[in-house]
Amino acid sequence: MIQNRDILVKVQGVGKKFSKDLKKSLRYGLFDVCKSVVGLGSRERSVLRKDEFWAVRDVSFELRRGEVLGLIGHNGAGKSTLLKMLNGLIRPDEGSITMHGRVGALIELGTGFNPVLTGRENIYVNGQILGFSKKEIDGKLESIIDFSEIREFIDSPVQSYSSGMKVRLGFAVASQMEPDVLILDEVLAVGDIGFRGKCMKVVHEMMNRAAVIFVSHSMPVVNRYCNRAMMLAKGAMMMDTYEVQLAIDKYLSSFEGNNSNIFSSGQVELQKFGFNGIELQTGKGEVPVFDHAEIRINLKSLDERLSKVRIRLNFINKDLLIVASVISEEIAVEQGLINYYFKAGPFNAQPGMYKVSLVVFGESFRDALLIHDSVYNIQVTGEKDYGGHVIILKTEPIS
Amino acid sequence: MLENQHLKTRVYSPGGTGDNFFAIWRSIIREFWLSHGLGFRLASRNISARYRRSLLGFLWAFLPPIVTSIVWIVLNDQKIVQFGKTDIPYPLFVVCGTTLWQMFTSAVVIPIQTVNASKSILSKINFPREAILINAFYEILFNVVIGMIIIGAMLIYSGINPGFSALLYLPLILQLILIGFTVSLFLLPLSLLYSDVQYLLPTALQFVMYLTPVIYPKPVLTSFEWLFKYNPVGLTLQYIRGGITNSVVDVTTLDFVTVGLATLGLFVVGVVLFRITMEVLIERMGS
Repeated sequence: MIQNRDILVKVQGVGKKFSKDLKKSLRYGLFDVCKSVVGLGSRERSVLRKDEFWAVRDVSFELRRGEVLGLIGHNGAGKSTLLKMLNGLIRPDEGSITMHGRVGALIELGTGFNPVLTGRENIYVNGQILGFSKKEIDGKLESIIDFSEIREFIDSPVQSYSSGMKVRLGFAVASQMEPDVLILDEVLAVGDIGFRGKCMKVVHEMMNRAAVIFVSHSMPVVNRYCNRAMMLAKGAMMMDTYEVQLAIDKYLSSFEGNNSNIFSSGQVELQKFGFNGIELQTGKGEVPVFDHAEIRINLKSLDERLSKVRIRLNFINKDLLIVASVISEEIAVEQGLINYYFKAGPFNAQPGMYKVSLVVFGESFRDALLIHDSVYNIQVTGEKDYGGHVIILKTEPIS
Repeated sequence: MLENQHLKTRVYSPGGTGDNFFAIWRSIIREFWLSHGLGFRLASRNISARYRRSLLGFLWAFLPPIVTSIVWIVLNDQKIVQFGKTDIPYPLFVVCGTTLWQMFTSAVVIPIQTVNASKSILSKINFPREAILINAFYEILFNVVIGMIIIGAMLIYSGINPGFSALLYLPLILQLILIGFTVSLFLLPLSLLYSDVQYLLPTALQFVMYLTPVIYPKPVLTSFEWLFKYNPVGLTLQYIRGGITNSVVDVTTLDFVTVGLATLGLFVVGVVLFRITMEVLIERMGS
């Protein structure tokens, strides 16, 4: 499918600054306008004025046809700013961007739809904004309507459409583009499941012919479609790699520490959590794929009446799905201490980061005495892709 | 598949294109040509959407100038206000005046309105920005056609046949539009940054209207005579009104042409201003 691998996008040391303060932003805007009119635009651009910050800085990369670059990062990391610069909507303050070929951007579908006009009329408006001529749209109209699957309502005003229908129509128009560089911003997470599948098919076809820059917060989607990933944090490039999984792990681990919720009834306390001999209360351990691990949990009882507990460990993958679960037998409390030592495995899982959550139950499974949302992180190491997501863990007690 | 060399290449860097004035104009003319269809489509979208939700529909396009005229006709008729003697019947005079004036104001207001209303597509989709100006132009043209119909109807109603020469004056209305459009182009950058412009504009236009011989004939020998002598809108408006009603005005063709050429010069600068400032402004628009 891919016949040449030319460099279609070349980004060199690109930076963009914004102002935090609206009034200042407007004033700077006025200065910038005056400067660009007089032709002094390029000087002093790399200096921050008061209340300004770099939304994006020192970003460089080259993208070839056939490459699908996943752009990941927290909210406000500079992803959208970078996309806007690539799309030519805003000009960088530093560095340069070179784009070869037609650029197609699926950013906000249905931008420019007029609510009073009918779907059919809006197809023409939207299509012409995206760069098609009236003649081209005449030729594509039927396939656009078919794709959107809303033929019945195509002559109704768009204001009566549901948001899903608007997106369908927007995508149906946009799907007619044949870009060399495709810019995608979270557009695929819309519509019902059937339509989403259809969209992915179209995007996949575009991807084969184009260089793609793809922004998403959905790591499975990034993992599935991208063959290269870049992580941005506070406007800077943290990682640019063809090992997509590495970037995803880095991205996910950047959330650690701020999402470990603990619920406690005050009856039990976690003392130690040991993984393969590394005894850390909270931490991170590694296990090679297919291997076993020894887990040692020490709890302290704070309530004399407590005689036995059950412990449950959940293994949670990057999509926050529980992929495996271990539930203990009843464990007796001895001298205020609860010990649960066992060997678990094999970790025949997709390599990557797994979060372990711990729940301690009392008499019944209804009263949880202690819940640790994220007590430990397990890195399953190994080559990419071992198929399934579900792990069947066998456990055996150890001393 | 095409080789890299055949693909269109675009470079975005802080320095701008570094093109000189004429190179910019060449590319503007190309963009105008390319985005003409889109501009027309956007204008017809706006116009048809504007009246679709109303019962009276396109009638609303006719009402404002007619109502304004009626007010002045009644005020003058009842001798509440007294204007000087006009060469043609006062109703015809004032209908022509207000209609032409509203053509001018729409040329000032519509480009600013259109660009402000298009903020969301401007900040999200990369399309030739000139299309917005073409869009505005067609919307103004729509108002001009409506105005012409009103004036035509008024001529028939007044029983005045200005002769075929009047038809020759119709294209000159474009000069009135050109003045308004140019004013708009210079206000645009500021209006996109600060909403003050849009708040101020209606009042300011009203103020200028009273300083322009729209509802009254040009006064003779007042201390403000210089104001009427150098008011480009007034000169143009009087010249056109005189022409299409075949009446006497003391605006010479030379005055008219001078105003026209000066405006054309400023318009050319204004369009370049639009091109240069738009990209700085788009990033301040938010989305």
